[in-house]
Amino acid sequence: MLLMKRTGLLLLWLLPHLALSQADTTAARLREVQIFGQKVQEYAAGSRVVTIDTFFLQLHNSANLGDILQARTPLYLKNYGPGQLASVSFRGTAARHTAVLWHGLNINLPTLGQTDFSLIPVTANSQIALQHGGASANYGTAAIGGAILLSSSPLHGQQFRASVQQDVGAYGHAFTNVGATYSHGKMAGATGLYRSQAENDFPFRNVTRFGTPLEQQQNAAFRQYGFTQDLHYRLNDRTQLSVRGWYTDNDAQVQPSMGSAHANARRANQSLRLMTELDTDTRTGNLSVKTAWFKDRMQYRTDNIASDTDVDTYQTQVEYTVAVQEKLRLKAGAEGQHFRAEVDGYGRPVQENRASGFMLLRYDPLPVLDISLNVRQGLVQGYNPPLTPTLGLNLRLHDTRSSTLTAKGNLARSYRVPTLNERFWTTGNPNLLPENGRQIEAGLVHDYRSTRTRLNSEVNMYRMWVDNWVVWEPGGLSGGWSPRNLQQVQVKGVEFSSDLQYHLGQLRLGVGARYSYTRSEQRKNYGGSDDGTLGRQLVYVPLHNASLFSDLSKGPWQFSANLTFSGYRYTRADNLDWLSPFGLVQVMGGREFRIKASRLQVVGKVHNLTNTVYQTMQYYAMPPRNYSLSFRYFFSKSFL
Amino acid sequence: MKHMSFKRLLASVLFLSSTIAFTACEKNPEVTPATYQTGVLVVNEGSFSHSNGAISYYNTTTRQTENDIFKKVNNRPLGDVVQSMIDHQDRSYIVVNNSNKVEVVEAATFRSVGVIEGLVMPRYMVAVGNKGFVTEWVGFGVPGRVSVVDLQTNAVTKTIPVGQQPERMLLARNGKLFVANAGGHTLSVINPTTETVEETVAVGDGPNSLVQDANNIIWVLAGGKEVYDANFAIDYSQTTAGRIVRFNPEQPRFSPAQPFDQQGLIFLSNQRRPAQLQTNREGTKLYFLLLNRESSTGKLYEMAINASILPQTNLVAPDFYGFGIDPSDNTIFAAEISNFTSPGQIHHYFPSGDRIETFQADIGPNGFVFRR
Repeated sequence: MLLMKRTGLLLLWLLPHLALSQADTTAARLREVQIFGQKVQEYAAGSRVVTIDTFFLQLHNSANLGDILQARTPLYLKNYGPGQLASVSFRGTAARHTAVLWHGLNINLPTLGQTDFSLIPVTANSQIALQHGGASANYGTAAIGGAILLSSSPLHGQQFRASVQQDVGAYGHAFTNVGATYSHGKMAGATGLYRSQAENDFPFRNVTRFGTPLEQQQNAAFRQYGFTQDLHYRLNDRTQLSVRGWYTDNDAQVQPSMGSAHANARRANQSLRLMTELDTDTRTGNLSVKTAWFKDRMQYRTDNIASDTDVDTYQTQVEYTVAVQEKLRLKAGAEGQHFRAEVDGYGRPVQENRASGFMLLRYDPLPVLDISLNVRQGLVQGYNPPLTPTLGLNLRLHDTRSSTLTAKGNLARSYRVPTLNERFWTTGNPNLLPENGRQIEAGLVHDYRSTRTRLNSEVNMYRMWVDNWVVWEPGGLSGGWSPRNLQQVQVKGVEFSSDLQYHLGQLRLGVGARYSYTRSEQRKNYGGSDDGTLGRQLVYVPLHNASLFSDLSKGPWQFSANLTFSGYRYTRADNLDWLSPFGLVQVMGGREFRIKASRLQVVGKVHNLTNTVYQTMQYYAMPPRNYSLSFRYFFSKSFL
Repeated sequence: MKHMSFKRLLASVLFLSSTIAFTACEKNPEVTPATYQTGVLVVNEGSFSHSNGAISYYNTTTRQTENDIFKKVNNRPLGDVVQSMIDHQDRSYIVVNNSNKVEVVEAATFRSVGVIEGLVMPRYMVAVGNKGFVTEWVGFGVPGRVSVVDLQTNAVTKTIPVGQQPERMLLARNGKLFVANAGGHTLSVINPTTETVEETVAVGDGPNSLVQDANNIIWVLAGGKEVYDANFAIDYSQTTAGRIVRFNPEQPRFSPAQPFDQQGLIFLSNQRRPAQLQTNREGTKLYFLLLNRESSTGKLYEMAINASILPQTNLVAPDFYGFGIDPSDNTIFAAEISNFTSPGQIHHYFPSGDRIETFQADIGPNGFVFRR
């Protein structure tokens, strides 16, 4: 609700599907105000920032974050099967080069330095934004390929809303969701409970076996449950206290690759995230203090292996924002993290402290010019990553009531601090240097709007270098596998997006297109010998990636269609083997029924409409065409 | 460069043909040419869980390498962790460890003709007439087994319980099959006719490989007992050193032959694991690797069968993951790996240790099959 108070500062824009405001509760349910994205953009002039359509997120709330990113962004998702480990490649980098933040705090697993997107249910975070490219000045470690920003919606209005949802689908899929939001007087809150499961016993042709038989997938079931709780309390006119909790418990069999024995592999994860946020307006600005405790546990079991991980992360972040003048805003802050890890494989309990200080500046010296100048210095026990500045510009070349053309550009440095595994594994390397990114980027944004139509298009070109790229290799100090700062990687890319929104009476239509070209190659190898991997495209980075989608609603009817395309992806560092391109189509349709203050929504989905045989990780089977049904009941009551 | 582009061309052809095969869903009736009759085949493990294990074919005349000939011929991957391969009669048997199978191909064409399934963590295979014997670990800390396979039907007809982690086998000249139980300290002696264990012989901790020399003496390389702590790190305070033991299989109860005593020759350090004992064609020289226990790579050593002490210096400089002795000329092929994501290098040496040539194989090369 801090956000609500600051709406004067921030540009609001409504979701295109639902243009005009009405007092109607049905529309209010869908009419999410996109303040969040604007907040991200404030200190990101010259960068590409994208928010995922909340209408789409709500329709797909039974999915995990990986499914959503695959459908609507140029990110490449490596899925080890449906509902299985999903890691991301953002702008041609590895999974550990994407920062994932929850309400501004990094939630990448400190041991692995990355996030498994199958463990992030969409329903737990109603707002998802992406900042492309190096942005360590804003987000700290790992924001080399980009950052993914998760948060729950701000609560507003004096009302109570509740929803109950049950989905059923093929291969034992079931999803249950119960949620409520309430806002009354000085208190507001949101509670969500979810449970998801699937047998994933889908048929597939095993192309690795003699006779390439049709088989049923084995050892791929999962179940996941969790809850989210947000509470906001307004202490006085200027101060608000928020408490947020998020728990996810996942227990999954580990789907084997087609050619591999599964050895009854199983992985369980529990993540508890708790944070408080105190937000107060002072005479000169705004102070925000966040403290958090994250607990991440993992148990991995096979017939022959048992491995446990238990990590506590304590974080605190202080930010002070001051509007020096109308055109000049400054945010200064500091954050500290304390990690305690008990990991089989470290041989001892491990602790580490990290801190960073940052200053973000937004200056709009001319009506047509916005400048971001950000800088961060990280501090890590034992060594320091480099100073990471970012300079970004927006220059409006053409600006009329209906149309704006803006040129963008930025120069940025970024870094990734070695993970706990890289430093503390028994064969780890305590002398590892941070990875070091540099980036130059330029783009054009065109925005057209009329009473019925809005068309927004953006094209970017960037070039990025990541030095001291870490690779695990045999032959460390003890002879075992050990990480080394072995490579320099260069990424050259182009990103294009275009979104059209149109509304006429009850009809609302959205059409979007995305395309990305990503040339990501190893330029240097400090290990000496060339093993045929220099100059080759990195594995699992498609040169071409595209998606095309449309959302349509007319009165009680809703339709959505999604086409994603991924080009060739090499599966070997020497590019001697690859996966062929695939296109994937998903369609859905639904109808809503109103009964007084409540609504009932029925949605049917067809996944993989064209029955495409595809893999995002080589030899990990994915399901053929299948169907699911979703029943949702919404209730709302106003306190006014 | 020319070499690379040739391989990429091959890969393209392979890719196109596999696409067509999947689309059309029918077998190509063409007769596959007998391409691989002579040369050296390299066994490449591939990356664990990636199903990219492969057999490379090295043509010793043209000095050209063809990688992943199984996939090229059969339009499907060989499997996950290719452990070993043997030729028997006109067929080749490829043991694919983490796919729990043995792929059966026509030796000369590499055309897939069958598969042996129902195995658990298979390691090595020996064939006797129409029977195959496959060592299987089954698991860790549990007894392993040797499965007997009917090579007409490729069906497992019997499993014989042996010690823990049975590794390589030796079909001795007296017809008995000696199995090295690497997770224990014994050899299991199997009678291939009756398919039973006739005797279990204690030889020292961790026997992993064995050969029979020119004098019919059997040599066993024991790697020592590797003890792990709770964090899967090797506990060197409890790990034992390796040793070489020898005996005459014809003497009752395998009483040790002179000049070794019952202990055999014990390696000085427990930091390294001796492994992969092999002989030259005449059976007069022994070769083995002394592996770093963490990386499983190490130096190559040579030892005469009449030596009374262990060799003190390695034959050549690099650390190897596997090697083989070409029986046609006693030259040595040795595999150097960088990691398990990119191809390894094969070095070819004269018996003196002078290098003849170096060529690239596939990911994780660990052994060789010679067709001369």
